[in-house]
Amino acid sequence: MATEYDLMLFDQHFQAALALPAAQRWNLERDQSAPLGIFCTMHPRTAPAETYKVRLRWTDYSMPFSLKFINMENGSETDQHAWPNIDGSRPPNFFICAPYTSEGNGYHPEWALSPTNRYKTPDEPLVFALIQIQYLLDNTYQGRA
Amino acid sequence: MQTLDSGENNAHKDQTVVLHVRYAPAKAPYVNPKASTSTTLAEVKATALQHFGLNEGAVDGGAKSYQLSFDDIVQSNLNITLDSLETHGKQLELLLIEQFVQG
Repeated sequence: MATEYDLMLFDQHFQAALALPAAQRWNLERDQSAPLGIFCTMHPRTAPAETYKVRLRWTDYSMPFSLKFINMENGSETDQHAWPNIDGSRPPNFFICAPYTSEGNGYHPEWALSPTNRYKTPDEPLVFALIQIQYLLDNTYQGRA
Repeated sequence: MQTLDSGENNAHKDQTVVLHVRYAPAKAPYVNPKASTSTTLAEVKATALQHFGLNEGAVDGGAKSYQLSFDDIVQSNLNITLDSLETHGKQLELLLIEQFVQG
């Protein structure tokens, strides 16, 4: 359950994300069905015609977030063709295997106990998440799953 | 034809830019308002890592590495200097990205 403080921070960070230079490449919108959620349409630098819609959701804004790539036509979160092949992506299992995702931590509960891999809450979690995903798309993209 | 005296010559060489290095987990970027354009990316990276309190290599039983990105492209050659990057006026923005260990 999102706290009032989380909601206030999230609102601030949503505006901060919109002000990023990279936001000119995005279609960033709030997820009306999740108070701490957004949708963002993004594309890799090397394949501007290949657009992907990512959904980010937090239940606790200080914790790792759920990251899903969504079918842009029907909204399905279980369509592997809606996923890019980027570092850490596991399209058949619909998750990014990284310490910042709740799904990655689900597969690797040991990460929470690891000084190296445990999630350290960024100053602006939403901004961090968007920059990280755009970086992966720009520098590790290997086509659509 | 006039020649530059040594002072002018040095001034010509010592161009500066306002350098910003953003590290995604941190709200405030590292800023050097007078970064010499002869600074290498390796030097920038070392300074940024120190600024953000980060270490590369073996850390706490694991391994960490960081990369610098400019205009959405990772810079693999850290020997190049800032003057070889196309700046937007006198501003230069780089992104420092952590490489995560993935399962």
